[in-house]
Formats: sequence, structure tokens, C-alpha cells
Amino acid sequence: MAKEVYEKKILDRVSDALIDGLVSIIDKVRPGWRIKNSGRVEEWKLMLYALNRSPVGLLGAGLVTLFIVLAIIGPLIAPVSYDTQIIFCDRNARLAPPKTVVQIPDNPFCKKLGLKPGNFTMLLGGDDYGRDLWSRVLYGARTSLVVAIIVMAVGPWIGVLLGLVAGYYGGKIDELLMRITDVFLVFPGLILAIAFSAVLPYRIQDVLSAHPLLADVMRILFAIKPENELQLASLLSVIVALWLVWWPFYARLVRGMVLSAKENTYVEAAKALGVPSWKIMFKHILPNIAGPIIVFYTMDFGGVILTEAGLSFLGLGAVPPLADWGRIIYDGSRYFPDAWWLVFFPGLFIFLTVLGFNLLGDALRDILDPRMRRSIEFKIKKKED
Amino acid sequence: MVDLRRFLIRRLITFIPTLIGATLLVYFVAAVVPGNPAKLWAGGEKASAEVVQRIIEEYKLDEPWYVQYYYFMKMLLTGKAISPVTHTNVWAEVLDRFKTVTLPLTMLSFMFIILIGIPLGIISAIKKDTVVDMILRIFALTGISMPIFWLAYLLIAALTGKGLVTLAGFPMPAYSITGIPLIDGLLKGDFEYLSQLLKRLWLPSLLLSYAGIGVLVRLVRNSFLDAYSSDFVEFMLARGFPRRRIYIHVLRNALAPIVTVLGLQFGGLLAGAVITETIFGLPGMGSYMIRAINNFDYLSLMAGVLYVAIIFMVVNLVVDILYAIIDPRVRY
Amino acid sequence: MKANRCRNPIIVVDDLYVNFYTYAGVVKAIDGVSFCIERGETYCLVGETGCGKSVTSRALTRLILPPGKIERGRILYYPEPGKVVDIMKLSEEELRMIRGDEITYIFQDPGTALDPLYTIGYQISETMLVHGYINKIRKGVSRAIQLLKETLIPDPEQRIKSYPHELSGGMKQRAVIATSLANRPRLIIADEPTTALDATVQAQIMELLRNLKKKRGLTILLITHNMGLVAEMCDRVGVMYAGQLVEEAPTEELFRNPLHPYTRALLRAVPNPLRRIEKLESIPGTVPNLIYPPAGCRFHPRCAHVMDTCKRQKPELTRIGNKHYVSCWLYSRR
Repeated sequence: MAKEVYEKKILDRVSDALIDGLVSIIDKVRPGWRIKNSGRVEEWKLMLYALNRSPVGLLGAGLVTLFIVLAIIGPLIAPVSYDTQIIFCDRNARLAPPKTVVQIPDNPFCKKLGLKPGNFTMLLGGDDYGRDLWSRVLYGARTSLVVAIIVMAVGPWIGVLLGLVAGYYGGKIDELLMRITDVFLVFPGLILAIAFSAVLPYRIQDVLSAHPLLADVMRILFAIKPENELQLASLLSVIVALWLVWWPFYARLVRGMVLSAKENTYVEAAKALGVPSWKIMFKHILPNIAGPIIVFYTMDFGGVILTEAGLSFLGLGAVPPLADWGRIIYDGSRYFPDAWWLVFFPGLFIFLTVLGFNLLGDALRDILDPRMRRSIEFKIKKKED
Repeated sequence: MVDLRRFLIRRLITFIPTLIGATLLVYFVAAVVPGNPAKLWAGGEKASAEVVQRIIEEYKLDEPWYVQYYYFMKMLLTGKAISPVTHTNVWAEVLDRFKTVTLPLTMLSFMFIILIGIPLGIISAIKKDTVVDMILRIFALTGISMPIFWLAYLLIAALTGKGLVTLAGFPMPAYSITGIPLIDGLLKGDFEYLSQLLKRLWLPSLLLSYAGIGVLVRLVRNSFLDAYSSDFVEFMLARGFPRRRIYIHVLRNALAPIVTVLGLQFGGLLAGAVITETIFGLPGMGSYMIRAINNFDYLSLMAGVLYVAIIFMVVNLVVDILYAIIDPRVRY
Repeated sequence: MKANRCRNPIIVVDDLYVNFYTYAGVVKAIDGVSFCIERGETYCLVGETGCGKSVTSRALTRLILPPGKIERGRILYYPEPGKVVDIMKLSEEELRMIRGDEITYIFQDPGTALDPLYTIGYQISETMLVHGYINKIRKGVSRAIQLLKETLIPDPEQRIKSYPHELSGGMKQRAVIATSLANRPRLIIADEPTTALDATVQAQIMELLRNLKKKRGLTILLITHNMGLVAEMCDRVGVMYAGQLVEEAPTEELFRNPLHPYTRALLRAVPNPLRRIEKLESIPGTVPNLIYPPAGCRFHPRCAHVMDTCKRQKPELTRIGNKHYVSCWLYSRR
């Protein structure tokens, strides 16, 4: 038998503190929540203990956290803006290799570009327009994160909703919804996304012109300068295209799980008690099938980031001068392998980010298994006794 | 076998509405979403009023949607749709590029997925919770996390100059039997041509298969372990079956989900081909679609999209039939 | 050796310990069980779910899958009188040749015991193939038909081409029995063979087993929790509780004169075929957690006659009457 005996590690105490903090915030907003949900809080803690014991999961969580932090603070800590062409102040900035130090002269023009006079180190090198790659990669993280969040906040949920309805009501509704799902599924995701994002910009442009507030919100989210607002349309086209691509899988998945969950006695009992259908679907069925959905949902953050990068690599989506990892690779590939850094670094960031989400999702599969939590509870309790 | 035939008929009946739905969706993307399809199809901003007018007449774009849909499909599928940008027959062009380049590319990738993915998945399952398993699982995860357009450049940089990779041109056989070079080469036993084809395609197809291999290793591992925990495995042990024989039974039981996902992976290959062909300069259907986007040649793009959907539907039909052959329970 | 209470045993189990290493801790599933089975008899192991009777039966051919492990004990198999095989010392391959050939199993749920993707005929033939009685599946067809006839499956020529899902539960169990007869069985271990079946089918399957035993001169180890079946089928009965053998006696003796408090409670909880009883009773308390089993006699927390010794020391299996053994301090000479 494995002789490992667990006790609370430092990480466990950190995660305890995290959850306790979160709980006390919720408890402030909704008094009494803590007492009512003590069992759930205990489960949350156990899940984090399980994560703390999974090297793969920790690595994934670390990569994901790093990515999110970079995406949030990236535009703030970036040495220069995504479109600052240092080439205008020092010609050496063009296709500068990593760690190139360029000299910024003390003149008003360079000041206006946001460059301080003196030495400027281009950490990851520069591109053909003499822009700082490190700054562009940081802005690119923001682009990826915002796209992923907006896509994942809508697309899969359309699928979950349709899957719930189709599985719960069955019959003609199910038949119709599943036929529609089938039609979407005969198009490989990337192909459908290409088709939609190629034709959508015209429509999106109309919408953006009609709703300047929406344009402003998007601009702020993506950390884009006002003068680049025109480039928003193609970026948003990719988001809408990915919404349309990302629902059918979830519709199928959820429908299948609802069909088997529907057989459970608690659903029968709720029906017999006259609980309204929507309440049965969302309060009784959905929480019981949440496990697999959470795993796929986590991994799909990586999937969306990878697909979006692929689309922009193909010239769809983010257009220059906007910073986007896939697009940077596409533009840099012309100078490959001489200016290898233009391909290497953005690609590395894509890979590590997507890998992070996939590792985390993979670990979640184990963590969401109640038996796993019981075993950890057992081992920790044994040590405490 | 009677029930197998009944299953086939039922499956074909559901094929038709899905096909119609797919064509409707392509029409929707091509004609409804853009708002002004005539201008778009004529080449976007640069289109002359005269060409736009001709497009409206040819495709009846001033008629109700169902008339438009009918003419759009008729023009495409009967090969009468001519791109106003390249002045070529879009359907014929897509077909040609698919059979000469994309077909051998995806077939080779498909082979890599099966030949690499399934054995590695089985090894991972049999060696569950060992170092080997751990390495294989991480390998599989890197496969589904890898931006292939990135890896492709790295590998090209590493391999060019060693005579292992060619990036230009595409070998064509001097003869034509079926019109599909890969099959012609195989029929004729023309190994010289086949080796040229292989030399041009091995790296792109291997890269293209990487994600699929990742998916398959994970799936084979899990469904193998699932099947291995069935009661019939214990009963076989109780009957004194040797391990290898039990593994064969388990694999056959695990095969049903594997075949389904293999079918879905083919869709992934068709999609990935767009990226791979673009990087490796292969004149296939995928790079044709991307060129179409860059040229504002939307008719060609839509022809490509429709063609991919049809191929993918046929592949899935074949998969379902295979499924019914593998698992007798499905036929009911 | 203390276990050999048999004159002409086919199998002798001595001081068997089996543990399961689960996430929650070590389950001490079998705790020093000793018994033997007389050649040609039907021996029954009875007890509640989870008492270890199934595990014991599987341990006879070391068919314990991880996380389970046989800790210690001796298992002697006598293929013929005077010839002895030490099961614990056999290699995996030697064991494999015994399983499914000389010692065969019938499992509880015929619905899941057969591979759903192969025909009945294939799976019966395969059982012969893996033991080298035939060298091609095809060559097993006629013998498979013969076996289906023997197990009273109607229309055997057609049935060998059927897939498991095309047969009823009773038919499937007959097919499973056919696989267990395919080679040269001496001992058939039937692990709750009728629990998953309808009552009427149950009787037919039992009838079949009884006839086959007579015809083929088999020995049967029957695992069950159904006291009715015990009375009907068995020559001798072993009662198990929480991984220990608490009592063993010839069937009639056990029903007439149950000694162990657990056996008594068990008989009061089911309709007794030999006696009229007014009211069925349940046994107070619950089956103990075998990760932290009660010290001493594992039944003591539920026992009405509990004494101090019971909590401290495990009672030995002691002979009380003719072939009647019990492990309880009430009957101990100490």
C-alpha cells in the first residue's frame, strides 16, 4: 500500500484562507449564507486540497493564473503601446533580435510616441515595423483572454440551454433541436468559423456604428486606442463566429446527460411535487450533470484561444496594428527563420496558455470525482486525529 | 443482416434532412449574413456595378430567399458558378484541389492518427499510473494544446537544408485512371510517384495529425480502461483467458466510441488542412479557401465550405455504418 | 492442519486472509477463514451482502483483482484423491490453466458476464480454445451446440449465433453455465447464480445445476443469501459474518440446531423451511465497517449474549457435534 500520509500543507492553508475569505465576502452580502452552505464550503476546500496534491493540476493552474494576470495587467506594464513604432526613433528597432538595446533620442516626436530618451531594451526583439514584441505579446494576452471570456460566456451556454430543453422535453422539440445541431456539426468547427468570420465584419460594422457605447466598451476591454476602433469589427466577427461554432457540442453533451439524469427518482419526485420545469432543469438536473460540463468548459477556454489564434494566423480576426498572438506569427512568418523570435515567442505563449487550461481541465476530472475528495478527507483527518 | 439493412435505410433517411440543412446553412452564411451578397460575391469593395448586376441576375438575388437558395445551389452543384474574381469554375476547382492534394494529405494524417494514436492509447491504459502512462498523457495533452502553425515553422527551420522537406511544387503523375493521383499511383503500383508524394506530404500530414493523435490517445486510454472494468473481463479471467486475448475483447468493446471520434477527427483534419496547406504551400482545397478570402472571392470560399461539409457528412455516414457492424446492439 | 475436516476433500482452505487496499483504508475483508469441500458435495456459503463469501470463493483460484490481495493462508486443491496442488504456489499461467477448465465459475449477473459483441457460440468455443481443447473457434461449434442442449436451451443451432442481448436473463445464465461446463470441470463455483433472475427462472436454473451435478459427478460451491436455496440444494453450509466463518454444519443440522447467535438471528430473519415461525425479525445494528472491524468476535456489537471475552479475543472454530462447528465463546470450553 502507498505509505503516503497527508497532512495540511502550506498550500492547503493558503487555499483554506482563500475560500474562507471568499465565504466571508459572500456572507457579508447575503447574511446566513455561511451556515446554510457549510457542507458545500467543506467540499470546495477538499477540491482545492485535491488540486494541491496534483502536480499536473498545479502546473495547469499556475499557467492559467499567469496568463490571466498577464492579460489583466499586461497593457499596464507593457513598456510601450502595441502600435508604437520605435523604428521612427532608432532604425535598429526594425526586426531587432531579442535583448536589442536601442537609443531613443531626446526629441518631442519620440516623447509623443511614449518613449523615454536613453536606452530602451527590446526584451523579445522587434518586428518589421519596429514595434516592441514583448509589449505586443502582452497586449496579445489581453486580446486572447477577452475573446475567450466573451466566447465562453455565451456559446457553450446556448448549447447547455438547448441541450437541457431537448433532453428534458423530448419528442418533437428534441427531434427539431437535434436536427439543427446535426446541421451545425457537419461543418468542422474551424471551417464554419472561417466562413462566418469572413462574411460577418460588414454586419458587425453596422452594429458598431449604431451602438457607439458597445464599441467603447469593447475598445476598453481589448485595450485598444480610439483610432483603431475600425479594426474592432473583424475582431468581433471572430467572437460571433465562435459563438455559433461552440454551442452544438454542448447541446449534444448536455442532452445525453439530461436523458439519463431524467430517469432519477429525484426528478420524478420534483415533477410529482409540481416543481416548475425550468426549476427542475436548472436546480435539480443541471447541478447533477455539472461535473463533465465543468471539465470540458475549462479545456475549451484553451480550445477557443487556440482556434482564435488559428483564425488570426489565417488572416481572419484581429488585423494590424492590433496585437494578437496568431496574427503576430502570421506577419512574422515572412521573416522566418531569420527573425525567428517573431514566430517563436507568441507561439510559445499560445502553447503554454492552452496547455495550462488543458492540464487544469484534466486535473479537474479527478478532483470533481467525489471518491477522490473522500480519500483526501480521510488522509487529512487521519493525520489530525 | 436484416436489421443491419433496416439500420442503413434509417440512417440514410436522416442523412437527407441534414444535407438539406447543411446547404441551407451555407446559403444563409453566403447570402443572408453579409447583407449585400451580390456586392460581396462580385468581389467586395472593388466590384464594378456591372458585375454586381450580372450576379444579381444569375443568382436571382432579387427574388425571395427560397428561389435564391435554389439557384445558388443549382449554380454551385452543376458547376455553373464562375468566380468573378478568378474567372474559374469554383466547384470544379474545389473538387480538383481536394482530390489531388487535400485527399492524400488528410488520408496520410488519418493513417498516422490510427497507427500512432491507438497503440499509444492502449499502452497508456495497460501501464496505467506508471511513468510511461504519465509521459503519454502529457504527450497527448501537448498534442491538443499545440498551435500547429507554430510547431510547423519550428520543424521546418530544423529540417530544411537536410533534404527531408520540400516546400514548393506538387508532384503529379503522368497518367490518369480515376483522376485521383493517390489512387492512380496505388493502382499502377507507381512507387516512384508515391514516394515523391510521401516526401512532399509526410511532414505536413504528421503535423496535421498531432492534435488528432492527442485526442485519440486520451480517448483510447479512457475507453479501454472503461471496457476493462466490465464484468465480462472478470468472467474471462475466471475462465482462464490469457491476457492478450482479454485485451482483444476489451479493445473491440472500446472501439465503438473510438470509431465515432475517429470520424469526428476527420472533420478536424479537413479544418486543420486549411492551416497546414497554407504553411507548406500545398495547392489544396484549404489554401484555396484562404486565398479566396484574401482575394474577396466569396463564391469560391462558400464552394469550399459546402464541399467540406459534404465530405464530412459522408465520412460520418461511413462511421455510423462501421459502428453498426462493430456493435450489434446499435442496429436496433 | 486445522481446516481439514473432510475425508475426501476437493479443496481445503486454511486460515485465509484477504485485504482490500482502498482509498479509505485497508478493508480486512477475509479474516482467517478455514473450511474444506468434500468431493461430490454441494457446499454453501451464506451470509449478508459484504460478508466476504464472494471474495472467499474467488480466492480459491486467487482470482482477487487489485486493490485486493491475499495476505496469507493455504489453499490446497485435490484434482483427484491423493493428488494435491498448492494453489498459493502456482504461477499465473498454471492457475490460468485450472481456472475455467477444472474449477469454473458462474457469476451473479449473466447480463454482464458475457462480452456483448460476440455470439454465444463464439464465447463458449473460446473457453475451449484458451485451454487448448480445440485449435480453432470453428471446431467448437458442434460441442457448443451439445452444451446448449445439455443446459436445456431450446433451438441450440440457432442460439449459438445469437448475441447476448438477444437472449433472456435465464437463457444467458444457461449459456454462462454452458461455458463453465465446456472443458473438464470438477468444481463449479456458483456465485449467487440466480439473484439477478426472476423467481420462476431461479427454480429452473437450480434444477439444472442439480441435474448437471448428478450427471457429471461435479462438486458445487454455492454462494447465496437465500436460505430457501440452501435448504433445497446444499449438503453442508458455512455461515459467514464480516469476513469470518462463524458456523458450519450439515444443512439439516444447521436449520434444526443453529448455535451461533448470528446464525440464529439470520434464521429468524428469513422464513425457515423446517419450522413455522410467527414473525420475521431483523438483526439489530448494522454490518461493521471492515476497515476498523470490532476487536475480538466481529459480531459482538450486535450480539444479545455478548460477554467480556467476546470484545477482547477472537473465538476459534470449535467442534460441537457431528460435523457441526461454531466459533463463539458461548460454546467454548474455556
